[in-house]
Amino acid sequence: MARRHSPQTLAVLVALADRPQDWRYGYELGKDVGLRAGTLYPILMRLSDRGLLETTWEVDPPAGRPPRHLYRLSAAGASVATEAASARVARPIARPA
Amino acid sequence: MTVGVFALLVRLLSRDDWGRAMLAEVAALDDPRERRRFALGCLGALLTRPASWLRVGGVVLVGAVPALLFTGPGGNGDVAGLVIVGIVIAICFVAVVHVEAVPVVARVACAGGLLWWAGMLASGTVRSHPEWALALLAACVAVAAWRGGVLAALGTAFVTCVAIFVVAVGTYAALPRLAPAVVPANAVHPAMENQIESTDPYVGELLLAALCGVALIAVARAAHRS
Repeated sequence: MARRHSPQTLAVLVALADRPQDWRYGYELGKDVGLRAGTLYPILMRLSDRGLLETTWEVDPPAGRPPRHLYRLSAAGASVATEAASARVARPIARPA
Repeated sequence: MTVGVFALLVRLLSRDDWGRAMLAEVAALDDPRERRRFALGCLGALLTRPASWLRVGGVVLVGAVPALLFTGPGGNGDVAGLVIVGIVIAICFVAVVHVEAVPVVARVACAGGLLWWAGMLASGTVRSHPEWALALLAACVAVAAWRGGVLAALGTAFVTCVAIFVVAVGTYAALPRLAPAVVPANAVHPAMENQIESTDPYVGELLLAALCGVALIAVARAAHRS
């Protein structure tokens, strides 16, 4: 059975799936989906633990700044993101009248 | 919150890639308000992980050592002794930040500390047998090495030594009625004298903790560099 994801996790999956080849860093991704670090990082940690996320380190950071951690969806993550996005379209979130 | 304070807290709570990732993101932000907000969010994210709380528990355990040594009765103000104790405590605080394989270390060291505590409460003679403490320590280290490798073994050696010291000396300080008497029954102030005498057999554990701590710091730093 497909795992149900929170709306915040779905937003992260969809944002990463929008640019599947690009490596994204945490602050930019958080701004993109409107999540604060305290919400974003636990989601990234879970996705990474489940093998849905590929991670790497920035190769050539500016002098004096440590390299950033970069993220993009793995093949498994891309398929979960596609499933999640289609489920979201098929079953839109009900809004109060 | 300055980047320095944030870095210290993150290193305390996390020694994996996520901690390094958060440090790098915060270092890249120019706006102090945004940096502070992001840093606080990162700390909140790290505190969602049980391993972070185990790390906080480790710091509290090490913090109990100076609390027991400096608030208890006894002590003659010997400067050399105070310097040695100060160095040992400083090493322990640095070492606890370098503990890796935290869940394994926490489980095995807790079991070791509780076993020693149970033995100490069951018999007044246990405290006068340091070789038994060493045997327990060796068993804990073997289990940790089997479950988590060299760093887990070193971390377990360090934390178990501190745990044995804290449970033993702490029992005489906080639960004196529970602890077996070590001074003669006709002592003037038995509880206080028991507390004073309780520390001596465990000084060895504290020194051993510092030695294990130095080894742990060296090996953990070498592992992170490679």
